[in-house]
Amino acid sequence: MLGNDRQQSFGQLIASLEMRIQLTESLLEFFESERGVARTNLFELRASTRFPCYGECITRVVDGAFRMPGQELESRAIIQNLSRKGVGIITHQQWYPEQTLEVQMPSATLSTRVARTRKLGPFCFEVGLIIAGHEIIEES
Amino acid sequence: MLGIPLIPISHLTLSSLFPVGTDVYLRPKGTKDAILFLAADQIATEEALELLAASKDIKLFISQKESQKFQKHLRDNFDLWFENAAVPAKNKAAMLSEVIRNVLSDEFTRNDTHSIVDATKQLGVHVARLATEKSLTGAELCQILHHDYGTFTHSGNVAFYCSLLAAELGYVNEELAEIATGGLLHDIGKLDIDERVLNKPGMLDEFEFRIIKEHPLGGFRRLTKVNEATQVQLLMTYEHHERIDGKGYPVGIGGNEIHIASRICSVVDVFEAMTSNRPYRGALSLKQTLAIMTESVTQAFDKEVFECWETIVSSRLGS
Repeated sequence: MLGNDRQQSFGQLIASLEMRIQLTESLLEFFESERGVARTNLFELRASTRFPCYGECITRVVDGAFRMPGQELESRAIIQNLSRKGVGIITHQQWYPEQTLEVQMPSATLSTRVARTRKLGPFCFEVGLIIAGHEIIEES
Repeated sequence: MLGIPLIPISHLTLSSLFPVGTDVYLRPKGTKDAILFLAADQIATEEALELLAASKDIKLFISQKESQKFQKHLRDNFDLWFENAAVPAKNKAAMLSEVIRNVLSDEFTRNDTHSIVDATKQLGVHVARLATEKSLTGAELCQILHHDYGTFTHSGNVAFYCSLLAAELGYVNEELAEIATGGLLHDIGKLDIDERVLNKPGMLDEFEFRIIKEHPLGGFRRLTKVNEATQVQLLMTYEHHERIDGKGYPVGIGGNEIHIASRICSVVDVFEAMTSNRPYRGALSLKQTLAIMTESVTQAFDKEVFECWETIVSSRLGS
């Protein structure tokens, strides 16, 4: 069952959060040019193909899950790519492995677990999330 | 004694208070044969211990077969030793170092994270207490510790060094113990790495290096599953390969984004690795190690933390 805040429209919710990510130049290029299947190499040992995309989302720390000091409970993020098992997002804050996050997108909410985080620049972290479950949000 | 495999022990692990529990042999420098020095139930006299301390040419040994018995003896008597004010700090450090190697060897082999964290917590308290003993200098500690590189020895040494450095930087009591335990746990992620890669004598190829670089992440994952691991210990495990210039791994954070305990661990981790014997090279001297580390200090380390460590260990360079 969705909570009161979740029942607001995605648009209203995301507008209430500040966008604090500082996209790096290479990321801007990525979002402008990358289409089709994301490049990878053998060393990355990926299980599924990733598809680059661009979209905004809200990340939310799941109730009772561990949280490092200073981490915001709810924040605005950018979806970078999607695969069958995971989602890559760009955030302004660092997330730690095994943290559980809810990723709210316009039409679905994903239950995820942080696999890894890499810093790309100031206020810019690339976070790999493993999808544990999802919930489709139906338009009212 | 010919034909019986012997292993060396430190004379600092002997006491005039208790029997050692195993036969102890000595071998003066230049001689082939070891001779019985103490029978298992004998207690060393003060005079004999003083002689051993004064002589650099006499080495002590026990039978390799009795190694477990010797370790058990140390563990059983450890608390008694540790609480005894008459036992000098350097003897306590030598004994604690042996106990740590033994406990970590057992626990890491058992590979149960809960049990590892539990065992290291108590050891961390002892390490922290020793670090604040004014009579124990950094130079003495470097001399006492084993320098054969292996995950148990390395982790034990890093814990000693971490707490010495943290104490110098002003940390006390619980915080110090937490950092010491963090030092013991910082490489726990290596338990997930194939020993053939971990102990490879030559250069690692790109694929093997990528595997090695997974250990901070693996260690962090392990510790998140254990309630007893503190946030400081989690971060020391996760961030000890981060660099101050942001070019480290696994995340690439830099400067003050790296927790202070991780910055401490990073300095002593590199120092310990360089001053230890590796399969492909001998231990570097303190002077060589500090010179190499100084060259990369602004890129790799917190300058203030490194300079503090340099002060702690460089007292030995003149001697």
